[in-house]
Amino acid sequence: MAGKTHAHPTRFELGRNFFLLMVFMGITVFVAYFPVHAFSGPWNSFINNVIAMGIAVIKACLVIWFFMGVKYSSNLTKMYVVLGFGTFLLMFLSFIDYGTRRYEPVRGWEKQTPTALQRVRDNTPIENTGLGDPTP
Amino acid sequence: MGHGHSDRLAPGEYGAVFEQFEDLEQQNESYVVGMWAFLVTEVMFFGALFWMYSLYRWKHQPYWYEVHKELHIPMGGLNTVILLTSSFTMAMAVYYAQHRQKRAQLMCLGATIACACGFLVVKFFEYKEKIAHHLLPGANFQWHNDKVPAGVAELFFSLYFAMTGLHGLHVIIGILIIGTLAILVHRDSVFVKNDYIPTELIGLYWHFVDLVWIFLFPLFYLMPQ
Repeated sequence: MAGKTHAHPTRFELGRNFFLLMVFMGITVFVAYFPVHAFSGPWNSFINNVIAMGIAVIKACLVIWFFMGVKYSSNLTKMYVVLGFGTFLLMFLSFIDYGTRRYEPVRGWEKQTPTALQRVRDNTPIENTGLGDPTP
Repeated sequence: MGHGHSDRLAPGEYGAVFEQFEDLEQQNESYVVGMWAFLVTEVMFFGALFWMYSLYRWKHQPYWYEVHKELHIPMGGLNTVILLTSSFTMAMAVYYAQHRQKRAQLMCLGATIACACGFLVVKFFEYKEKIAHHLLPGANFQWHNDKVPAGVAELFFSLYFAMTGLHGLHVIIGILIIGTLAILVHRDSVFVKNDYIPTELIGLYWHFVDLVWIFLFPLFYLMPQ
């Protein structure tokens, strides 16, 4: 460890971080009680949500960077941290599925009859499927 | 500064460099990376619940805003302050472990446990109030606000109890492991005497518990319209 200046957070850094967290805590409660009227209608809610989540992300970053000592940890540790939270964010890609359900069913993706003898066209009754006589 | 004097320790002693590592720095880094790997699994564990929360809030935003008024912001805020404070005291405990100040370290660990217990006390009264108002999902769930369908309200409280409950369970586990650590430090156990790493790893866990609450608080208590 020789040659490294302090490889751990200092007491000043920890205290300052605690102070900052409390300040952000105050801001987020204040904003929740007093809506931001920068925009009207649905945008108002959007801006409020962005502020609330933005402050939460800032607080989380402060905790990770100083309290968890990631600032002073190795690049390998930093990679684990970034990829860990990055993987969590990737999970939200599945909202693409929920968001596009209304496009279903897609024309042309209808279930085909299981035969290679006759392709069934749109709106044509299924007759000779090549599967033998239908049961009466 | 504040590192295990590995040259003075017998091989195999805690705080000394074990044979599979090059030096103390690499050994400590391996421990920290291992703990982070575990915390990543915890992120995914809570992540699924956060994902569910996002989906159902997206679908029922106006209703959810109405239901979230049942929650008591000052109580949630108090709990946030308590938990942020406990994170600070835990970080200080790690600092004192690194600088080999046993008494200060023990005091910080005690403060962390005290904050964690305070958090649970507040949570207990919150839960008690919700259960008294028949807001616990299940057979006894009752909902009297005509603006919101009962099913959506029950869904909200299912997620509320699941997420805060799982978080509360982590707080309880945290109290147990921090308490165990404090006892080991007090007894000058070989595991912690020359080695600050156990304190650091338990600190990482505790900060993660704090991280989860940092997001739970705005999502449930401060939900904007």
